[in-house]
Amino acid sequence: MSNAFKNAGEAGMPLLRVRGLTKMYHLGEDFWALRGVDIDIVEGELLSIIGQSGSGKSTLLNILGCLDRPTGGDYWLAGHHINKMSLNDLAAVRNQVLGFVFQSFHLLPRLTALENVMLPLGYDHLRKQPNMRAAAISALERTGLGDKVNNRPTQMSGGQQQRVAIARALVNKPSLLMADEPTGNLDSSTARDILDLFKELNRQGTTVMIITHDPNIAANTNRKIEIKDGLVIGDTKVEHPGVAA
Amino acid sequence: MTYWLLLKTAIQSIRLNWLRTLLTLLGIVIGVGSVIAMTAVGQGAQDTVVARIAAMGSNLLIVNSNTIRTGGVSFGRGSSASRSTLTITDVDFLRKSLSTASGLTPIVNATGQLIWGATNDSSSVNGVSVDYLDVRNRQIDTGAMFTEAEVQSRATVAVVGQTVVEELFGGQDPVGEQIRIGRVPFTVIGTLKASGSGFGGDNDDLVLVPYTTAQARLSGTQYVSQIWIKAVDKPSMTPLQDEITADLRNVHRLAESAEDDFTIRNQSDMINLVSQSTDTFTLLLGAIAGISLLVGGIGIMNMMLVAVTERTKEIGLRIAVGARGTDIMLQFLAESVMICVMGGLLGLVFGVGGAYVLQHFFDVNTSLSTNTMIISVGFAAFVGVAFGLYPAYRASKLDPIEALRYG
Ligand SMILES: Nc1ncnc2c1ncn2[C@@H]1O[C@H](COP(=O)(O)OP(=O)(O)O)[C@@H](O)[C@H]1O
Ligand SMILES: [Mg+2]
Repeated sequence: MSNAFKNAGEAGMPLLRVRGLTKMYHLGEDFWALRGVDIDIVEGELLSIIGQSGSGKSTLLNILGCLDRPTGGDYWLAGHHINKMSLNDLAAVRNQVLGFVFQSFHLLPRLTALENVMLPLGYDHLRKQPNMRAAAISALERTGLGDKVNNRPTQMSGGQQQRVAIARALVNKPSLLMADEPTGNLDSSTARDILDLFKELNRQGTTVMIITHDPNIAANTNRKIEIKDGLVIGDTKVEHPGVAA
Repeated sequence: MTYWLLLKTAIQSIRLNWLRTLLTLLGIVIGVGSVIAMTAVGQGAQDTVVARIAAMGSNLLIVNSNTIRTGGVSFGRGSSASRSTLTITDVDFLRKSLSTASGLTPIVNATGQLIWGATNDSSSVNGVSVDYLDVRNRQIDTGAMFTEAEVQSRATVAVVGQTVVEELFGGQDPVGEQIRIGRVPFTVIGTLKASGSGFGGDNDDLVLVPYTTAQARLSGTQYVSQIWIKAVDKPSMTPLQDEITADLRNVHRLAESAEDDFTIRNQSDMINLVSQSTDTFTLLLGAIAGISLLVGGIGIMNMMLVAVTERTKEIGLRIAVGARGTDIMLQFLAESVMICVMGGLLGLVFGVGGAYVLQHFFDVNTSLSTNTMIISVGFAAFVGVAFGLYPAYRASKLDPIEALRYG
């Protein structure tokens, strides 16, 4: 990561800002999956991005997650103009600023919970946390798995596996946690536990963004951004989070 | 990633697929093992031959008579002493004229049945000078060598080799015994220390008599079969050879245009010749083994390509949590290099073991070379890099979004 990146911040910027974000796919003919998205996210928010299947949620997440580049528009994250960054700096952003939680967990089956959580630390070229083991254990403790550090994914329930994945997302102390349908593969009571965990992490200061097609989950966040056909069609504060719509 | 993490990750993936890895590794194991064993055999063969040439003596020049053609019939040299172009005149001349020779002996071949009491035996009888021991690097075991005075007086004395001691005298010390060579009685005055087999068979099945006696009493001619000359040191061999050539052409009164009627063999030329031919042989063996190393490399590449495909999702996840392209590339390179180095080390064990077995159970002389070991294990590591590069590059270029969706 460059020093410019390390010395964060253009003054007055929110944590995340996109302006006129577009994404086009070529499928025989041009297809615009995002058609000009504007979003600001400030530190400490717990928000959801909700929309029907095919509305462009995953496309948006891939771009916000620095895994893909937009066709047009601008993106600033933690004060940095992401559009202009090199591939290596984007990797550093994913490692340092972002934490990903996936619908299907994406744990490596041959590794223990601890080793899975340690994975991002290996790509931290700044060695922010010299004691990798201790950092991973404390992340696992935050997600309530302090007693399962040596279990492998196959020895754990779906909810526990997702907690390992969340611990992995937390281990580098990210500014923004991004979750794509994090409860999609879980039964409803486990899903509620995971949601509660996200709320707790948010209370402790982590900014959390959950992408979902499920209104019940969106109703548990403080802010709801609704997208349809690649456009933001609604951005509302939730009055009493936790009350199902 | 740190080197330690790279190593650990490589070990983890290898352990996960240890059987597949082991099978793929066999190509490298066989490649490295055979390079080491084969070159050990080649080098061993060379050492054996060189040792035999060296055992003849050191800094030797050997003058042979060229074949004389009479009426279209060719006589091999030594087939008949009377056909030799070399005579005692040559010997006497060379002995006086050569400045840098430290020893000179004619070889007068004589044949004759050895008879001692009621036993008899056949052996080669050589008429030689007192320099013989020094020139041929031989030592007296019991008794003594004959003296210059005995040569001058054509004494009927003989020094015998260990095979003769065994076969004619039944192993007891023959010094002082009377024997007959053909019809001529000789007194045995000494025995030679054993020297083992060399070129042309048993070096110990030998009877030495003064060359004067051999000519006068056994062969009945002035001819000698060969003249062996020892140079004082290695650098003086070539000038000495030129000097001998000039002298002999002079003594033989050869016209300017005439070819030499003798041939001089140079011991260091012989060693070079043998080294060259066995070097070629070793190179050939090494090349064949090297090819199997390459084939092993292709196997590694195949396995790594499969591994990249199998781990597509893992690669996507690693990129998502912050791995750079080079991190992914190094991860797979570390794995293929590690596999190849493991194969190389296993091959080293098998190669050295193979050479040991050949040496101790099959009587094949082998000579292990540390250089070959280092080079072949190093080459295995290189194969790991060379054949791991493309799969690693493919892994590093995966699109993380596609990769995460894979499978
Ligand atoms: N790689 C791609 N190539 C072409 N079209 C794509 C690609 N990814 C997504 N799309 C299209 O873009 C639209 C939005 O997809 P996506 O972002 O996955 O929606 P969501 O996550 O909300 O279901 C869909 O119509 C989908 O078919
Ligand atoms: Mg989606």
